[in-house]
Formats: sequence, C-alpha cells, structure tokens
Amino acid sequence: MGAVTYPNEKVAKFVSLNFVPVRIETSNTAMVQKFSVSWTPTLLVLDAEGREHYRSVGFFAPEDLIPTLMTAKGRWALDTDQFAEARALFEEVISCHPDLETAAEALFFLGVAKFKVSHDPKILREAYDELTAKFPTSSWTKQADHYRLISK
Amino acid sequence: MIMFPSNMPTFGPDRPKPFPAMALKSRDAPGRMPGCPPGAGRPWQKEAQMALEICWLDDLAKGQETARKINKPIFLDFFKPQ
Repeated sequence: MGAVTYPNEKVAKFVSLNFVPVRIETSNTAMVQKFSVSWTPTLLVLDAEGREHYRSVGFFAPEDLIPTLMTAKGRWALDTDQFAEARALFEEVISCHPDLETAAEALFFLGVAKFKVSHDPKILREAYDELTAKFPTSSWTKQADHYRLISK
Repeated sequence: MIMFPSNMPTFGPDRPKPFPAMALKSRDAPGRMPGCPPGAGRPWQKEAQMALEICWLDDLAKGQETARKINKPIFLDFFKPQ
C-alpha cells in the first residue's frame, strides 16, 4: 500500500479530504492488541471516540481503495446518524463504481440509511430486489435475503 | 449574475465595464474570489490545493482529537515497515 496505493495522487487527495489519516507500525503491540490486528495491511475506519465502523484486511489498488473508503465513510456516517451524508456516499459508489463488490455493500446500506429516515419497510424490499438483480452472487445479497419476506 | 440587454456588445470598446465592486482589488490574487480574505480560494479549488502526499499522524489520540474537531472519521492503517 505504501509503495503503490498511498502515493497515488487521487488516493492522497481523497484520504486527505475525507479522513484523519493515522498510521501505526505493527511493532506497537499495545495498539495491535487493542484492535486485534493479526495481518497487514489492516485498514480500519474509526470515529472520534475510537469506535470501529469498518475493517478491511489485504491490499487495495488505488482505483479500488477510493470506492471502498467511500463506502467505509458511508458506514461511519450511518452509524453516527448522519443519514444524508451516508446516503450521498452510498449513491456515489453505486453510480460511479457499479461493477465493484463494494457497490453491493453500498446498495445494502443505502437501503438501511433510507429506512432509518422513513421507517418504511418497503425500502428494504426494494434494496433486496435491486441487490438480487445487480449482484446475485454477492454476500450482501444473501445478507439481505430476509427482506424478500416484506411485501411489495 | 448581472444581466445586460441582448443588443449590448459583449466585446470591443463599447462593451459594458464591470461595476467597481466587482473589480479585483489589488490584494486579490488570481483565483481568489474578490473580497475573500487572503488564503481563501474558490471552494472547488480546495482539492487542487491539497498536498499530494498523505500527512499521516502516528498518534491515535491526536487523530481522535482532530476527528472530533472537524467531524471526520479516522482512517487507521496498520503497517509493517519494509
């Protein structure tokens, strides 16, 4: 990541604009134990209180990291009740990166973000239908399977 | 936006002059909105002014303090130096 992805100009701009970037060496055993890190690279998205909202293990190419972090930021916004921001981020991932797996995750949580505002269960059913149509083999589609029981 | 009659020339010596308030003041560098304080760029130029490298913090507590102030999430990367 340090050799290829982080030096990428678009990645640097995106991370700098959207996050507070913190880098910890694995020799810092206290932090490694605190966050149960067993492999590198491990990427976490935390809130200001240090609570974890997203975790990923493994390498990302620059073009994959940006949409992944966009989804991760959406998860943070969703968990901190910033529903409009969460929705905007998920919608951008879905429209700009429709072929990536993270778009399935964004679609799943877009349904959640909309439901949190409207409390209309039909929105979850719509999310399930869209996931089934666009990402039939995704784990996120399986995780939304129980929404099919909601009548249209 | 200032509207001019459609028959008014938009170039040449007879073109309308900008109102004095619209003219760039001497302290306004190119690219800065007239009247903006020094250092304030146009919003869409903010991105272009960003550093081309990520300025990593190495202290999570400092990161949390910053995140609290600017309402942004923390991107925490665990890495093994090569």
